Amino acid sequence: MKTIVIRAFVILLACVATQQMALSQKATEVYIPIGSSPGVSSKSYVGTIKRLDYETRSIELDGPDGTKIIYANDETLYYLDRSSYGKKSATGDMHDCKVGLLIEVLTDDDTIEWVKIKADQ
Amino acid sequence: MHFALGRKRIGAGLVAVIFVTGCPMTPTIPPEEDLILTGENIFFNETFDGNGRTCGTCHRAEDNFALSPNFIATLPPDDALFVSETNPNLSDNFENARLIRELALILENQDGFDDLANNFNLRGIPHTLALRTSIDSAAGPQTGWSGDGSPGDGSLRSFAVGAVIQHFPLTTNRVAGVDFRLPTDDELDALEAFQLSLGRQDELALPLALTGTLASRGQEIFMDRTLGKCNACHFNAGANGDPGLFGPDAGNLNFNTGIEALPDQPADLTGEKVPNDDGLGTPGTGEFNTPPVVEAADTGPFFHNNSVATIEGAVAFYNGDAFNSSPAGLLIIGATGDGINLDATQVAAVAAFLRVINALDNIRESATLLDRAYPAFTITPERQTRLLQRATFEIDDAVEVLSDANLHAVAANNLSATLITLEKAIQSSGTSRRQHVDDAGSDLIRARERIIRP
Repeated sequence: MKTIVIRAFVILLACVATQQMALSQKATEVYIPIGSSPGVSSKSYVGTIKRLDYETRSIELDGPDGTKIIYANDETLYYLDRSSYGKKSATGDMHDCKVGLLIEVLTDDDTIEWVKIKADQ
Repeated sequence: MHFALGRKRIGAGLVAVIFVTGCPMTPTIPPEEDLILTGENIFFNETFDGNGRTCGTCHRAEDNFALSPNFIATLPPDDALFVSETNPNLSDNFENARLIRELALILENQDGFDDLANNFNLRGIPHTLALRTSIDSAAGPQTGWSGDGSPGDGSLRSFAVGAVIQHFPLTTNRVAGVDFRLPTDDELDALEAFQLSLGRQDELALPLALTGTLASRGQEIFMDRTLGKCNACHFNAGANGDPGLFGPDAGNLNFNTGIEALPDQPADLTGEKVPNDDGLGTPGTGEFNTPPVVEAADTGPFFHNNSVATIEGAVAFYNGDAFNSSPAGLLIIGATGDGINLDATQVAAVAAFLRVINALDNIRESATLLDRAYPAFTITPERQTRLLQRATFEIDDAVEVLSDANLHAVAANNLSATLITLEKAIQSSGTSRRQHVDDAGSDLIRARERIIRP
């Protein structure tokens, strides 16, 4: 009986433990200027917005490595980086993206985790 | 000059790797130690052009790199911890001064900064000990109370960036370059190295050959999968899941254990605004990160919201409705047929076990610090004094966790005498200091041998 109980314990405990990806403290990310987020340089791109499609939520940007098209989704977060003006940064949405603005995108494969937009004021 | 200390003179049995006999003195500090020293200096002294706080403002070396209400009561009014009381720009929505002073709770905005008046959590300050053993998981690094404490890549290295933004700014505008400066890559490297150097570097291997009857029984209950069930999530009394249950690489895990459902939480009883803390992620899953319990007994209050004051209370939590009705508790009930139902004597036994392994870890750490005070390279007398002081903090804690539960009275008396010896070492210099340190090291070995068989 004890063996059965322990076996069940093993199986069900394995189910309860959270193994999801740590989400990181996104809240403070809003105040980290473009290009300064720690440890993400291999997964982020900095470039200028070349083309936008709000319907497909695609962003085409020109960066040092050429042109890249990335697709946002419901989970994508947007940050307005106003630090270079000495102003408080804030959260935003895709409509804050405008052609010609500098952005940094953190991507996991082709999905955008967050977009930092250098605000124009 | 040569190191000529024999094994027994300073505690090699506890930290054998540190021991070098007949090794020539080298004046050059090794790069890894230099990085740790740099990190230590940043940790305790660097304000990052902010409000005056440093990492050490909340993670006090004297208080196990955490912060308790008792320790806070010893601080002067102008301590940077109380910056919300002294800086008008931080008087609103930055901290709750009453809850800092009474319960050591710090304000955090895990779910965003758009509504500072309403969207915040109040959390205790976790110690930064044994991080080398308690962060890695199959899902990536887990930092902070809910496992998601770092911006960027979520690593311990990145943790300081989020901490500076949350806790160090001059104003709640939190503008980089105006209200603070971000740590450089070199600073992050050094801070990470220092934090990883703190405390235990390896897991215990339970069961230990403890000499005490009560603690030995507590260890049995702790490891029993049908009784205490503790070892499942605190494998070897650490922060990782039992590989036999969760897989070989599971590492550090998150659970919803129902802490937020506890009735009569001290913070709630104050009448202050204390929003529900939803834990991991935004919106939260209700899950919090598993801490190691080797370091628990001297780092209370317990749980993410400092809701339980004593280690006995923390063990007893798992008997209550809050845990046994939680997602984690219900699954244990489903798996084993019942929840955790320890009687008072069993709670005391498990707590005694936790107290004893904490005291042993304090002895180990103090011996390590004594060794580091006499390394194979030159260090300044001031650095040496700091290491000896930290050793006294550890020994003092060992005495306290044992004495508070009437455990190992003779060993506790030995350790009290060791404290006096070490104080003499701190007050002296040269060969006199060295002799006192050697004597203290020998005392530590004797005290340890009263608690655990070789």
